[in-house]
Amino acid sequence: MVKKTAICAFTAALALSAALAVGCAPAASEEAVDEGAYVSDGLPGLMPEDHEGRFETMGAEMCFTCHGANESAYPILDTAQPLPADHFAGGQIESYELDNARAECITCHSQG
Amino acid sequence: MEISRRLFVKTTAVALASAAAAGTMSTMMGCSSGEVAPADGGTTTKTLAVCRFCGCGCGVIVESKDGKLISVTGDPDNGSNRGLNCVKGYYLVGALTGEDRLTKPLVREDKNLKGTMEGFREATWEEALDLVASKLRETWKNDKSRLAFWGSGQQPIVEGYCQAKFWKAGLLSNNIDPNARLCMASAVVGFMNVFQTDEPAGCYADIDETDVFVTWGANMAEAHPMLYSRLTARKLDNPDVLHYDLTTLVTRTSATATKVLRFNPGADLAIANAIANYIVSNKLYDEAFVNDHLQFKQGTENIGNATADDYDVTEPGNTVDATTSITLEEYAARLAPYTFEYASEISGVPAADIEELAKVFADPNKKVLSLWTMGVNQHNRGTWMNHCIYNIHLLTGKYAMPGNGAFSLTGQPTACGTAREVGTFCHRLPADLVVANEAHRRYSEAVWNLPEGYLDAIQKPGFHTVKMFRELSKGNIDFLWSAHNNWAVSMPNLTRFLGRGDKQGIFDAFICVSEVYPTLSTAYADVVLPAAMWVEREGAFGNGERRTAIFEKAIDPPGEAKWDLWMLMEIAKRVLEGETIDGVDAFDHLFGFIYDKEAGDFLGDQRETCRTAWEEYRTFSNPWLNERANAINESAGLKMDAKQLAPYDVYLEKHGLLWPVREVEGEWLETSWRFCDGEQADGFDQVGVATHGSQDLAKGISFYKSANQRPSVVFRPWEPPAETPSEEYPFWFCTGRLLEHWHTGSMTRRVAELDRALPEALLDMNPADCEKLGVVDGDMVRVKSRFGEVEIKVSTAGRTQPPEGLVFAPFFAEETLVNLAVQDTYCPLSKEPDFKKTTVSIEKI
Repeated sequence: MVKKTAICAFTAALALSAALAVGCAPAASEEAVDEGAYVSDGLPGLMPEDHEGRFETMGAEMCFTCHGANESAYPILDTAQPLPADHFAGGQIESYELDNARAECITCHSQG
Repeated sequence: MEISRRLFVKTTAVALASAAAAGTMSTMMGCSSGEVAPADGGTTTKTLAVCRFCGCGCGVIVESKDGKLISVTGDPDNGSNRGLNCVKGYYLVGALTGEDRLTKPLVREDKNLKGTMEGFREATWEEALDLVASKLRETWKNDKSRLAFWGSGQQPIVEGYCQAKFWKAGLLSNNIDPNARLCMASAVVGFMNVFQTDEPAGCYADIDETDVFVTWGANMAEAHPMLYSRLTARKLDNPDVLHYDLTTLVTRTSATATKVLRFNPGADLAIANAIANYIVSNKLYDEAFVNDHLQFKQGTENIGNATADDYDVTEPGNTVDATTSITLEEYAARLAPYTFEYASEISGVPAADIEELAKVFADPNKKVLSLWTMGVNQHNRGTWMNHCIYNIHLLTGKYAMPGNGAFSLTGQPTACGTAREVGTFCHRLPADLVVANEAHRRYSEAVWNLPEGYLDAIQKPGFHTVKMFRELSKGNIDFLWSAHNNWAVSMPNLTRFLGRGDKQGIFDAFICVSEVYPTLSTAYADVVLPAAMWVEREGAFGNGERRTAIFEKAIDPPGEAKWDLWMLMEIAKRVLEGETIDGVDAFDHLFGFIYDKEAGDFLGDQRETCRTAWEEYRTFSNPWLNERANAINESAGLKMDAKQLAPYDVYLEKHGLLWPVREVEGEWLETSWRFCDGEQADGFDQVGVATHGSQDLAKGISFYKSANQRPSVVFRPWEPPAETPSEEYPFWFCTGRLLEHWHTGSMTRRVAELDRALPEALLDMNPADCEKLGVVDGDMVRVKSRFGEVEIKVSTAGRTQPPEGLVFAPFFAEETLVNLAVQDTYCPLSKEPDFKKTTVSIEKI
């Protein structure tokens, strides 16, 4: 299942990437931008209230347990926000490993 | 292939994520900036920038559309952060769009309402500028010791350069100092004393190369988040990599440490000396490195503490900079008392832990990287502690090589690029030059085309920051202009400086504040000038690893907010009206090359203005661009090209560069490791060593800027903090920064997400202390020192975990003005205040 996901995703991404590389196009997300607002769907979300203390006590590995990927699911927990590809080792979701430079989750995802 | 809805959703999510990553690929392919037309018909522009906040200096890509910012993401082509970012950086857009942006000049009508934002009226720029300029000119003509400018490590390079030029060459005044005095001065004096050149030899890439991290008084996880991400990545990638965290309280940075060495405040000097003693007494130092490179010194001791106003003119205050040469054997004798047991007795750290760290330093097969921030620099012996860390690294030959380094991390985005490099300190001129040195003045006169001897009028340094505000409080400053800072929240001893004690000078002085939002500093202003912020104009920052990077203008400022450089030009032209330099109109002499004073506008657009000013500034580090300067450089042996900068546009093309930048076969190449011989193309200092240094010395290092090419190992003893806990004031009070809020929070608290994440300043306490005092989480307490008091809410579940007897609070919240209680005692050498060791009492309200 996850292989199919990855194949479809990477095919789509490749097409988008090619277009971007040629024309220096912005990321595909900008249609979501509200006129006059500063929201962008590229912003890292804050951790929800019920996550209070989770990172401090359990670390990035535990975050990955829900938000990451394995051979059978991405994200692993169906209701979790999936980590973007650049959070995976080598930028590859199929690595099923967290990029160690992203292991300080709270650097970007503060406790909201 | 059958695609279910769930598979489709997942596919889309992955594709978007991948595309987002690919979006940055476009910049990697050289399309760093430009307009593109998305499908919805709008125009989206991507521009290069550097994060507005901390000293990491992360490169970012700014996306804007229809005159509004859309997003800020990490720039993968900026070598400092390689695409990483932190929560403040991601939410930067919100920092510009607060509802209460200042958009019109404000003039105070009622001086009795100073201290509030009441009593102002809106004014035209003409009126506001006329008023500020008339007050400055009046003070200047009357008594120029009574004027002052307080700048910042956040003032972009070109603006800081022009400000320094106006103040030093235009007004012939040294009463200019930056808020970098509060965070980096001890590091600066340490660098200058040891190496005779400011700023680190290494770079952030050392983090990716080292075997051992030693953090000294540094909460990188909160204050330098991107660098901490690189640190943890290095450690996770290589399980054998060690991290020793030397700290007075457990922080987020301690979480990944192999061992936490929690020491009593001020005892770090004893620990460092014990490590040095072990290395020297057991002859575990790098003998070839010591023989080829080092000299040994000791300095004035028993120097007391700079708490009283007259300290600088007392006997110890006058002699604190003095040193004498000693031998290695004499140095060893001075270190001898610092056994592990003695250091343990002073510090509270087990002797075995200090010994373990000493053995790590002594291991010739381990690369060690020391990183420090305000715990070392904001210290009553800040300069001494910088020395002590360098001593260990120099003795063991672990400096200026990949993975081996000693690195003072800067607090602000351009503390190096502006405050230090363009000379906005009261004792400095651009490019490490100082006002007290005759050759340095001659060189500056040459670059600025001033008559020989013109700058002799400023050979005596002016007021450093604490002196400036102490004089203000005493009624001895008539005119103060501040920009890019919020002194009414960030200065220590605010009870005195805000006139809440017996010194009322702040109410009498004329104060001009250039700002983007109403702050406590604007509340004390007579005139508020609304400033363009960050990418609302073009500018450049120089970060903690010597990287100069440009941020492009992306959008227009709101309302009538203006570029700070325009404000400076308009004030300068009014103040200098009728003045001449060498028979030429003074303003035109200084700034006519970029500004038409009759037209009230720059000669070119912002890019051209920055480029032109940069070209003059970079003459300081490219002496051959000015014949007169070049001759002085040669005759005085100044080696000005040791800080060589490249032409302006190269920085855009390369997404920032680490100086010295060398032109090799037509290409400008940066230097990652100063003084380390090797291929320039690989980041080594090939050109510098070949030009000024000696090859074939130990480890391929040549300290060519140091006197006799030998940095100094200076013995500095442990001397106690300015005050220690007593019956009346039984607690240590330590203040600092936390992740979500930048300094005084004037920008980050306007961002809803950041405010929600960290809405209030809490007093972190040890549960045992709470029990003794009968307080629980959420209780309000009064924290009282000899200097003042503040009311604050208690927490035992805060970001830090203080030991018994020590409490911590962040300084971002103006409603919880912790600096009312913080001492303004400063390091006698660097004049940097000690924000970490005020003693206080705590009582439940």
